[in-house]
Amino acid sequence: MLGSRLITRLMRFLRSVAGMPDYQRHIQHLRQHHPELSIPTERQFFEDFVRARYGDGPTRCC
Amino acid sequence: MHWRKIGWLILAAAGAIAWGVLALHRGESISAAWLILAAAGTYLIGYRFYSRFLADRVFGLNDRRATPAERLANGRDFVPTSRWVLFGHHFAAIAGAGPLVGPVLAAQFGYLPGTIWIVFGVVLGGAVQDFVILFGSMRRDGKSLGQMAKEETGPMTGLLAMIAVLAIMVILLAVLALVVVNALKDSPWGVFTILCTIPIAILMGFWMKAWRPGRTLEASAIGVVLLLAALVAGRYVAESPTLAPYFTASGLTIAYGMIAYGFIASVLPVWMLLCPRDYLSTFMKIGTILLLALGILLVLPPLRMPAVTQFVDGTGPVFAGKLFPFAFITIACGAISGFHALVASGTTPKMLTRESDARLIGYGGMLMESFVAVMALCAAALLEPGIYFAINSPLATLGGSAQSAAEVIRGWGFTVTPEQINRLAADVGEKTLLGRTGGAPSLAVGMAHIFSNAFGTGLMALWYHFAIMFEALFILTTVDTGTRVGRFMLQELAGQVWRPLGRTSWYPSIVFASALIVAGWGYFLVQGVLDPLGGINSLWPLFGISNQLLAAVALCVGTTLIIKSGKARYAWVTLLPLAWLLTATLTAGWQKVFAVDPRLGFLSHAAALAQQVADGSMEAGRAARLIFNDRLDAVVTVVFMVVTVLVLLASAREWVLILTRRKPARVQETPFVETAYAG
Repeated sequence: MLGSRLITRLMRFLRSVAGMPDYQRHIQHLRQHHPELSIPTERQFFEDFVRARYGDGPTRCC
Repeated sequence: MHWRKIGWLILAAAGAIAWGVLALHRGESISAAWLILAAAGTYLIGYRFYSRFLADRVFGLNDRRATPAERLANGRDFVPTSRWVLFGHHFAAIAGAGPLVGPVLAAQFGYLPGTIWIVFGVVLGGAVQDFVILFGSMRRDGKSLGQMAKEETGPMTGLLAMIAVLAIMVILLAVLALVVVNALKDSPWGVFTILCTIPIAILMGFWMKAWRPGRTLEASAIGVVLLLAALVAGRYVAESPTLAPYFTASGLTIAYGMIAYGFIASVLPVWMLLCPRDYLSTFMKIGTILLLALGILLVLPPLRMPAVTQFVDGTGPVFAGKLFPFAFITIACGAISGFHALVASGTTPKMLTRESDARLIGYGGMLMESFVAVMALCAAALLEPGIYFAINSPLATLGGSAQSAAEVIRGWGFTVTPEQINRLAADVGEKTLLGRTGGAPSLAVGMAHIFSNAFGTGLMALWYHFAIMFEALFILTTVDTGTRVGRFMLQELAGQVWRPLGRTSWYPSIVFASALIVAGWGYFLVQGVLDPLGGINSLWPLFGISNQLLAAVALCVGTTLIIKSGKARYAWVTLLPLAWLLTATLTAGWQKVFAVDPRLGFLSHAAALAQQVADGSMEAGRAARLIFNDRLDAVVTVVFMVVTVLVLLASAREWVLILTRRKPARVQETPFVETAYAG
């Protein structure tokens, strides 16, 4: 049990370091703060994220 | 409390001793341990005391003030992120090929000048720049450098900053692409591995988009495994007489391939190629850098390069010019890098949970990058100097064979035999390493030395190609993201001339702007490939100058922020590095354009070529192209210098107006909101 929790945390760490979107966290945020908004599907969320991330401005250096 | 003070004293003493050993050592070789110790000691002291001073006194970071991530939280780009995660994220975004290549090239002066500049440059300059811009952006809801320049100094400065960023982007992409071309030409192993990254990325893209939406980690794990498989398979391709010719390409072919790739990557939807590659290269980058640090600590290789070589007088083969100013523009990233100002005013400020986290992430993140630069310098300096110069000098200087190269290098006073040169090439699975300018190959040889000593004996060739793949992978990621970013900026600028061109999703506008950006860096890339001196010679200084001048622009903005917030008495924290940077970079720019020595000055080189045509020793058509390129490089350098001086003058005018109280000292910060976080 402890092992799987550790792996989940490690995965979350890796995801955030690489700047990958965290769907669970996003819907948690929506439920908490914007209950009036509809919850996007995972697919929709991911697409929006990619558009926002590479939409404008440099994200990488030399 | 007492014990802590003693601890810091011991650390300071250890650092000072290490510096002393480095400076005074005379002999065959010195352990890299001294270099690491000197650097680490200085970083820790700088972080503990100087960044604390900046955070508390100069910026007045306030944990009671809510950050943009808290106030504007949307779970997507504004996300309060724990500080170590954000540290890793920010580091992955700022550390690229720059800190790896620059120090390797500057090793022609010996290991000492580069180390001093990297370590003290970062503590007093580079990390301050990143920190002040991150701070400024954090107080302005994550605004970009250009927007801050516009709001604090006026619309003209904003426009100039934007043009400067676009121009540096074009030069940056060209020179990084050239590094990859020089590493991959006539190398079927390398070409095969890098080509494989494209279908791997596309597979990952479909995985994340269509088959298993959002399973990004899963896709990345598959990508890394496939990448390593491609690396191993590359050896068989290179050794197969039927397959190898298909993957053996000249520099020019690879250059055109990269130009086509850059264009396609810029117009394709991001999920297909760009986003998966970005993840792949982030993981590879962090993993490899950790591995390199571990390897260096395990092996503590002896450094064979002298502390200072005779090339400080400006006669070096890797690039022309004396120690001052050229060491200070050759090493840009790692000591101070203007480009970071773009990242520090991009995604990172939107993710800070507490204001005080900006210290670890802005200042500390840059120290980390500087440490990468020190490791790269170690990897270059552990090579026999003769080998280092055989790899990094232009073919035109070395002559075509190992014999002629050994002869030339012996003339410089370094011993190397033709057998050594040939054996090394065979060891790493290449036909030749001679004249592979650009820094990546010699860094890869150094890394292969470290890795095979630390982790696996006899796998030199595999480690070499692993290092080449790692460098090429994230350079190509910079090329495709950079082209795309350049396209957006161009569209924004063009939109001010004709409205429809500014619509970033309008297809004709996308194709038009992408083609222009690709043509821009592609032109300089091809120029570099065709250059008889290998291109790095003229293009890397151009890149260094542009990057340092962008840093000067960022420091101008930083100074304005500090003065406007009523802290003029502390403005020296940005003014001192600014003064040094402008002195070194404008001198370098001036010399590159006007120096009488044709090896150094663009214009005198053009004149020398014209003379050769007049003598009949050079064909007129070929010379005309080279002369045009020299003049173009001169014009680009002058434009960079003029833009920077204009930004400086506009900023200085603001400073004087505020200091003489003709203008109120008022910053455009977002108003204070109390944080809801406890403690």
